[in-house]
Amino acid sequence: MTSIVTAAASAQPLLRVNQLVKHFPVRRGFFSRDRAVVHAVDGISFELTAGQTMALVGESGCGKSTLGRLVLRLFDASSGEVWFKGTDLMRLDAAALRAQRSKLQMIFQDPYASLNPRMTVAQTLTEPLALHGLAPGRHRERAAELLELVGLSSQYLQRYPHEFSGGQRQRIGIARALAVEPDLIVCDEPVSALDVSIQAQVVNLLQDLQRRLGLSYIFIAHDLAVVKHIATHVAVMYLGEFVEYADKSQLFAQPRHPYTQALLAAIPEPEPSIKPVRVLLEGDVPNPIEPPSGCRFRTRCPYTQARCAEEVPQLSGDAGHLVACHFWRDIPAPPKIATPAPNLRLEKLQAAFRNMALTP
Amino acid sequence: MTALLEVQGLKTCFKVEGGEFAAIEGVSFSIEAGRTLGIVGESGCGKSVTSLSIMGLLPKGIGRVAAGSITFDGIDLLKLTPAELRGLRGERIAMIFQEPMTSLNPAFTIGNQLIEAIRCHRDMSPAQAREHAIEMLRRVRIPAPERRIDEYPHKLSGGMRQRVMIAMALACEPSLLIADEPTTALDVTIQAQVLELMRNLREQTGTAIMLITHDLGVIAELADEVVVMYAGRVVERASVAALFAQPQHPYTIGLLGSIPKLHLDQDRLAAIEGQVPTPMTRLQGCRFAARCPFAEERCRLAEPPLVDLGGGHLAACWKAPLDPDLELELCAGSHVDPTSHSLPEHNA
Repeated sequence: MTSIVTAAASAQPLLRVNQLVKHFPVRRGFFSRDRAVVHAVDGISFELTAGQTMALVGESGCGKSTLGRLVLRLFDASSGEVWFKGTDLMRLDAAALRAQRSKLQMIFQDPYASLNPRMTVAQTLTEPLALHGLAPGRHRERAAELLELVGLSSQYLQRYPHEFSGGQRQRIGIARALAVEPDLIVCDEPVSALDVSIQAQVVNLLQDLQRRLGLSYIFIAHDLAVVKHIATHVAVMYLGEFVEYADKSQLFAQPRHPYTQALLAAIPEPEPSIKPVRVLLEGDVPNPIEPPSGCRFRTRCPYTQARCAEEVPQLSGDAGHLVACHFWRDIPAPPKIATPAPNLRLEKLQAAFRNMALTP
Repeated sequence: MTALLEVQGLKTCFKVEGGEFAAIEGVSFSIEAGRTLGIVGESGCGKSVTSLSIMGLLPKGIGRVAAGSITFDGIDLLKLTPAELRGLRGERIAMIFQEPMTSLNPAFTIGNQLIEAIRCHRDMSPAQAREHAIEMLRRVRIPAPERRIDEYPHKLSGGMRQRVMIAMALACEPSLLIADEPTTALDVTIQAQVLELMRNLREQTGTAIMLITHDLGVIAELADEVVVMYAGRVVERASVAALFAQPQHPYTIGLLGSIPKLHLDQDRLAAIEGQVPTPMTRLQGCRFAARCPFAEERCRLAEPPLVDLGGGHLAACWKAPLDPDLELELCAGSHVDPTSHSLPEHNA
């Protein structure tokens, strides 16, 4: 059994996840009684230190959203432990769990589905305050503060969600999460439904709030460029398992797992001068009901060998850079991320956009 | 060389309660045979309305082309009868959509649908059409096409479905393929496969592609020419190399700054403040002025025309070509330290 040790192992981590497993039962045919399971999350362990951002990346169906929800115990795990500030959330009863929830919040992907269309912004923001008995007697002031905190005017308190654009709704979703003064926020693809220019605003906001309020994030995403911008640590998931875990700079400078390498190479870079060098992965992600034997990535891996089908690779490595691959030392080094020539004119002009954001 | 598709001054209007609004206005561009034109912009900028106008697929009774011309290979598409247009669609102009699940009929096998598309336009026996369909599936690299052809869409993954859509679109060897966000719904490794496939097919068949996307990365990989749209207008048009190296419209500059880049360690993204205006908003002057750090009085008063700045690089900005040193001097008046990271105030 391997567990992940972060650099600050001596201090107690904010969150420690130990051998977390979630299997969803599925029925296989109309009358068939044999129970099959989807291996959504299969034996995941990690730690998160306060003030840091851990990104979970991977493609659809890899289990990243399930893992994020398990950490908050939005549904129950099949087995495993989630220690948050010294308490195992998996063993709490409903009342104790609700008390803990004020420290654990979530921001959802779809800003159109995650707000109640029949509640005003004020109602949306004061409901969690009432639930947790916070800010007694000054709910409205607190709601106004929260709106200003996420960069919206407090004049909007009496409005309904349909009156806002996607980016503004996502700000309201963030304000709702912040209402109970959480320590940890699970952000499930918070910017992937937004337009590019709005995406950047929300990413900047999440970073500003983290600096200001000392938040920790679990940031679920499929866009590695956004992850590189916001995360401190990155875990790459494939079919319910971590295949690689490292701090951001190591992961991007020296990706070790063939899957991480393929993910990085697959990103189309907005630079026509860079001609992509990539080993294309063949085929699709296998069915998580019957994951391949041995290494789950072997059916798409360009470097697969006989051993990969027989033996499950363990997550192991050195100095906080862990990889689950038998042959990571032997595979060819991936091409470095290409750097185009600097464009001073463009940088200067873009600085004007940054300045505009900082000007009252 | 004459253009395969020529769009001039296109204006498309939609009926709403109490009147009509123009979703796009003054849209002009052309595509030469075998070339790829990328159209990029955010939601509501009119990029999909442009493609639906070209295909004659605007919702009946609600949307209409109010002005301008669309010429395809010498034919004025706006003058064709619905039947003539149907003959052209699928044969000489084909289209693929973003959502490969909703664009395939779940009640028929992919073979049924491919064969139907082929027999609509080609005089082939069912057996010949089936052979051709299998050949097309092989060309889009679907494994075991003889078997796959009899499967229903729900059996296929998203990437496979998009390959089937591409096979169907290319079955009659169209000279123009309109691809509306073809890879947006796909995972990144599958997107790379589909982009590679489109690149190869383009080389083999010489099909011109009109590629509609919000992703500048996809544009950089596939397009030869680029049109940037904002709020129903073309704001910039250039070759792909010129657009990324020397963008002239402030919107393009801001958009490029909004994307996190793998090769850079930035502290803060150069986001464009404010919101994308909804298509119904009536705006005076330049439609980007409210979000533009370089805007001045004349930008708010009159709409800038799309002008050639030289070498076929067009931009619709009063201040183009922008001089960075001059602009920074003007901005410096606000005494902002660009390195500070205080929380921005938003006055939306």
